[in-house]
Amino acid sequence: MQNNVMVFVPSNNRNMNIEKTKAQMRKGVLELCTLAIISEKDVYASDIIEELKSSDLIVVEGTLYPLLTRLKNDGLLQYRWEESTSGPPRKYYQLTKEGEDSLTALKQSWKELSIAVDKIIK
Amino acid sequence: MEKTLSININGWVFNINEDAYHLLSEYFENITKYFSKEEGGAEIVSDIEARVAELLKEKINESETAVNIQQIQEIMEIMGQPYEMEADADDSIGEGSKRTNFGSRKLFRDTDNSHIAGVAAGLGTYFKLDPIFIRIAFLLLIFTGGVGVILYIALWILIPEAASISDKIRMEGKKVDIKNIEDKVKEEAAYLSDRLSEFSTEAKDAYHKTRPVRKKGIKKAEEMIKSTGRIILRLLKFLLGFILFLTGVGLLIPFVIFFFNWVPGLEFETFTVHGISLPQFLSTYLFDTKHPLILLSTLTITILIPVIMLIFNGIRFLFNFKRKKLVGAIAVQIWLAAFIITLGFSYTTLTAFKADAVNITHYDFDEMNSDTLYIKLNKQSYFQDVLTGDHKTVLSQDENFPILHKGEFYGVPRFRIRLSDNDDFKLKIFYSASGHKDEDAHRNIQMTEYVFDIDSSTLVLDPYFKLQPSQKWRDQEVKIELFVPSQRYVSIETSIPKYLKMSYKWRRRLEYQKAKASYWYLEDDRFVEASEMMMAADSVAVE
Repeated sequence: MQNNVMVFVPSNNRNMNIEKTKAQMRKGVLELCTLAIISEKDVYASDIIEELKSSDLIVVEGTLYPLLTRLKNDGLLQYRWEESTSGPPRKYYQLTKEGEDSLTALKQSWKELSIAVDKIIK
Repeated sequence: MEKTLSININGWVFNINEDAYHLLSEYFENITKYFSKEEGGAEIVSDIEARVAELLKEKINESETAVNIQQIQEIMEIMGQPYEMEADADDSIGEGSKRTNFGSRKLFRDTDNSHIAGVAAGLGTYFKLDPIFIRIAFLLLIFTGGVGVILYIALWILIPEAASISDKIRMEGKKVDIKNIEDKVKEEAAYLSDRLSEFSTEAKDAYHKTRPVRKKGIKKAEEMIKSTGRIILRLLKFLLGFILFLTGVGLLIPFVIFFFNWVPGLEFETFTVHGISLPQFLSTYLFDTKHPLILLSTLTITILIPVIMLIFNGIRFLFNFKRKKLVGAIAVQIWLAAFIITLGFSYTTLTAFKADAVNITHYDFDEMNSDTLYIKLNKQSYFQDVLTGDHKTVLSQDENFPILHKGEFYGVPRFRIRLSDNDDFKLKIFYSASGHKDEDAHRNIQMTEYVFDIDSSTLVLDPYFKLQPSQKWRDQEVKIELFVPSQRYVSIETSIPKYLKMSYKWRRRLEYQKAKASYWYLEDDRFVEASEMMMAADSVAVE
């Protein structure tokens, strides 16, 4: 999936419009990626950030929190509090049934999109 | 030595330097404000706080000291500004970056480098200028009549102080100079033209393609209209601010000039007073009240507040400042109060013009033994002597510069020449004035003094009539009517139309005269210049 995204991102960032488009693309797949990360195992916010950052999917960390809250309010996520050895309790996120369905649908449409795009841009 | 605070974020305790604490708490405030409208806003904020605490903990473990401001800045960079965190996926991306640009150009009062309130230092930082130039400009404006003081105070109220660390960072962050503004406009224009060409291409194709593409085109058009609207709005605001500011300053400068008496004389209609300021004039010659000082102050406030508000709002629009509701409300209250008091105290002054009176005096020219009446201006008491080189002999009087005494009220008389109904020269003088009642109007006429001199063949007229020292201006007027019989001549000095108020027809003819005096006689109900008797077309009709 990371490679697919890299195809989307041209290295030229002098043009403001390209920067905008890049940001828009990242924003478009952020929800999918976040859901995918959570689906692998129960995670807390910092784990998600780590993973997204290593793939250059987010620029500032703050982006994630409004998204998590929205997904939770939409019923795609739920969380539980878990004690931590190194500090205060943490929120661990997991997908709900709806979240799983939504992820499957998104994955499917991503695959279609990716094939379609690859075909066009070759 | 630095002050350190102890704070608790999400269950973790940190020692933090005071400046770092202010920056951090402001950051949290901004985030809270930003997400307050959103569903689950509080949760977002507490999640972000938890993450900040975590990041801080990592940083502290490296150094084991109190959190300093650099560390907070680093964390803010990692987390991002609230507008960069937007949750709404539909929101256009352009918005965020645009706001960054606007957000970074911010004018603050720089109290760290201030002499008074940091206005000059702040403006200097904003315009990339050494504040000394701005201070010099303010000082110069003070010498041109307090405009600088008023402007400084207006800016002091308007411009927020760079109180917090982040204000200071923003203040110094991206400085806006002309080049940057130009770049910004170019950038927006390029963006717009891009959009436009994109849109027009799409519009062409729209007929040949399917519906989704057309939809996309419409959405693009919508976006384009939105961004165009934004730019136009900002430009309009800028333009409006510029106009308001210029109007305000344009009104303030003459106000100050008249207030502090930097004009040689006050002249209105046909009246002249030299050497006193407008407030002095008003209380000496106009106000009919026991408390001229109160009326004067409230009148000043009534005029000054709208002018200052013009400047104030002009600056506000120019720099895109927020409205200061409190300042506006206070200004309106003060203005209303001043206006009402002004009305109350000026009532007696206004009614002092209620009654009018006219007094007509007739004079005959006894022993008139000449065909010609010579009309001359009295120069002895009003004009400076022109002396010979050895300062002994008086050559003539300098007609161009009347000597007007300081603070005295001079009025210009009107002068008309008409056809007499018999064979005699006649003179009529009309005195008119206003007053509370008819008696007052008549008293004002009695006190109006106009000096002229008639002898067998000359009429010597004073260039001005005067009011008595204690007398108020109540629309006093003096009108001189000279009746000339047919077959007789009048000689008129060129200085007469220069000082007396005459009809346009006479003035036009007389002002072109090269000789010191010109001769006129009556023919077919028209006054004709005697030396040009043949040119009847140029004659002046009898009034």
